Amino acid sequence: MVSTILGAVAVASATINVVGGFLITDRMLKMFKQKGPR
Amino acid sequence: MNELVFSNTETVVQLLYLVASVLFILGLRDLGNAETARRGVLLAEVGMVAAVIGTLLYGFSVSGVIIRWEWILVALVLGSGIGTMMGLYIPMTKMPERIALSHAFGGIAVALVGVAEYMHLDLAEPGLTLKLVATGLEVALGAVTFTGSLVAFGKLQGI
Repeated sequence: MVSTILGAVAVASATINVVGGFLITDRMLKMFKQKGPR
Repeated sequence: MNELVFSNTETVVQLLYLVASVLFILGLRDLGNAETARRGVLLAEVGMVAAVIGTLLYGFSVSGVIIRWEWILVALVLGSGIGTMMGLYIPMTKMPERIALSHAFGGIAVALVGVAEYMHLDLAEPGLTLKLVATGLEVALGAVTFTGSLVAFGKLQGI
């Protein structure tokens, strides 16, 4: 039971990290394509 | 596992891992160029999904360690929700703080997994010392990362 809770918290933290990280990276990269022809 | 014969599920898991690895490498290559960087992130995202699906499949069908799948589902949904909020609504000027927090989340996840692994260690198993050292290091490094990142966050925020 304890390890279930530990695992669930770990999965939630890791998911925050992954989802948030990818979103932020994409947001930052979006700012790079302002100038120049596309 | 010493058998040479893989079950179908195991083959699928290995293929998913292979696909994930290839996508990560291609994603990293694309990230090196400003023109293709966003496609690189997308490739890495798809790779991550493949890796997570592979790990879940492995836990369910091959090793059988996943028993309380509802908890995983709840944690995934909750984490995705919070992660999406943090990803979309944190202002760009607060990026260093966000990265520090993100590292803290990573650290706590590693430490907790280490603790859970320690609790399930089989004391009669051969090679126990090595496993104990590895698990201990995992918990220690995770905890150091967690507290250190929180301190960094606090300093950046000027708390």
